[in-house]
Amino acid sequence: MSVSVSPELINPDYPAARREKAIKDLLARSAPKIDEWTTRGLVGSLKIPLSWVNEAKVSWPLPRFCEMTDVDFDRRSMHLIRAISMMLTSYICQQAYMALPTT
Amino acid sequence: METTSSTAAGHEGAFFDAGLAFGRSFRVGWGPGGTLVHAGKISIPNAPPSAALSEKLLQHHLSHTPITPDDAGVPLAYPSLYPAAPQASTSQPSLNFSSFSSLFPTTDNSAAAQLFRLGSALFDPIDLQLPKAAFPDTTDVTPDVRNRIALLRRKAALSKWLTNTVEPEIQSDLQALASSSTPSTSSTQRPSTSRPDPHTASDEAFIYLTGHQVRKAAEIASDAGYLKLATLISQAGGDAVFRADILSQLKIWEAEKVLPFIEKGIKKVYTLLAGLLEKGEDKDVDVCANLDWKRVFGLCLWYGEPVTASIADVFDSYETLVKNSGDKVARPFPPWYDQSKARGEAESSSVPTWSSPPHPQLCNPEDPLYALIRLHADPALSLSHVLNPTSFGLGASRFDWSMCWHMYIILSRVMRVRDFGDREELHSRARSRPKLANGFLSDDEGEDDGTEGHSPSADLLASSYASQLEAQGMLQEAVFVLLHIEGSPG
Repeated sequence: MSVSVSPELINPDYPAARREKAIKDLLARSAPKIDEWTTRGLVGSLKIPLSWVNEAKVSWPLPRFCEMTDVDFDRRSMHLIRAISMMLTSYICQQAYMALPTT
Repeated sequence: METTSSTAAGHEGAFFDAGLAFGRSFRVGWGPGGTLVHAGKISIPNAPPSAALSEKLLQHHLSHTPITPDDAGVPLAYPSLYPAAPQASTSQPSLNFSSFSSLFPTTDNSAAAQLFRLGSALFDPIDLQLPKAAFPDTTDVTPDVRNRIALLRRKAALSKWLTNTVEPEIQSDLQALASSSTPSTSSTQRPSTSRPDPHTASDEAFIYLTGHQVRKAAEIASDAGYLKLATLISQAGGDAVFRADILSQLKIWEAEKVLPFIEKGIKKVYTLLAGLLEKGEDKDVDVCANLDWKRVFGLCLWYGEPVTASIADVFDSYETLVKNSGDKVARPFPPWYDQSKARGEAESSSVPTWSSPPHPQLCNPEDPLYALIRLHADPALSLSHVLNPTSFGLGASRFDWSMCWHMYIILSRVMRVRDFGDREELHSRARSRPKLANGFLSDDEGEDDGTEGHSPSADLLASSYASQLEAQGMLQEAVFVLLHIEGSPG
């Protein structure tokens, strides 16, 4: 499973669409939580393209990893891996922000 | 495992391994009445910042922010005063400090409410209450006079905020004074050796003055028979002549060596009215003693500096006072910061631990309220120096990105009064942006013809806040914050 910290977020010189990548990564990490009500909020209020939401649902990395490696993760393991991924994202962002020069 | 099969069996008295011998004696356990018995310090897991507050602020932000596709077709959230937003509605109301502070009831004295109210006093557009000119396009007031009036109105707004903010502490001090010592019933009664430190009306008047409650201070002095003192108190914060008169009175008392026979409260009131905030030779007369930074700053604002002084002058006066006093005058640490404890730990521990702060900013957290005042006082200061997540958090290891991000959005994106220092300036596309100069909307079309570039700090701040929201299970709110990331192709 890949840790979803996009290099664009910590590399200001990267010219790609940081916003799009960051939102897609977040949706991919949170795919199991995206139900119909959440989808309606994302697409209706926040104007997120429906294709992004659907893409996140089908490309959630853990099921794909399980499918590829034929590993049967139980539910607790999946939650644990997602929690670690989230913590790493938060930590790296915090460290990068604090390391910026205060000019 | 059986006790007899343990390697410690028969060696319970072997004290060369205290952990083995006394391990069970000092274990954490439950005492009578559900008391948790422990020998050390309990480590409390990091409580997440208030999700309800983030939800309320972001809901308000969303209701005032159009979301439209940018040039690359990626949705982008433009705060209100951003006119370059494609298809942006011109009827969007302003997303200023005042609109955020209206989300909190007037009785709410939480840190967030105080911060938005202070931001409103310092940065929101202010009504100068000037008389209307005879013709719409003309004005009877010159720019100099207008700036002077704006300065005084802004200072009055800060004074009002500060008076309201320190009021609970004034009441607390008065209660502590009443409970700690016996009141003296008459103004002529002198402290006696048999009754240690009876407080008089002059002590109460001084406490009221530290919160700029001049009317109450004068009333309590006159009710207790201090008529001359009440007359002087009513002129508190007066002009230079008044201060010079009070100062000369203090010098006369000193020359005649009668100061030891004058009540401590009266001496403190006279010293305050003379604008002498630094500690003098008389140890009884330290007007800044036992006051928090907000009240000391208030003393500089109301009594230390003349009425015509700007907020920047008051800020400099407070900084000088803190610098000259060593550690005697309260520094603007955040509410969670235990100054004495931090100092003790710094002196005792030479070996860094895993929990040592990783960045110098963490060593010197600053009250966010003070940071906002500093931002107003120093026009050259960038947001990079002010938006410290430790200051806005609940502790050294409890970052809170929400208030940092909202402050950035209002100050940089909406009002455009300040920005991060690392924002690049691009000049490829001409696009004029309205700015708020000293709280007034101005369109610098001729001067600011460059498109704003990318700020890594701003994007990292948004990403950090989104991570915090994601950890709290607030997916839609996290996506909304990420919609403010500026980096886009081209």
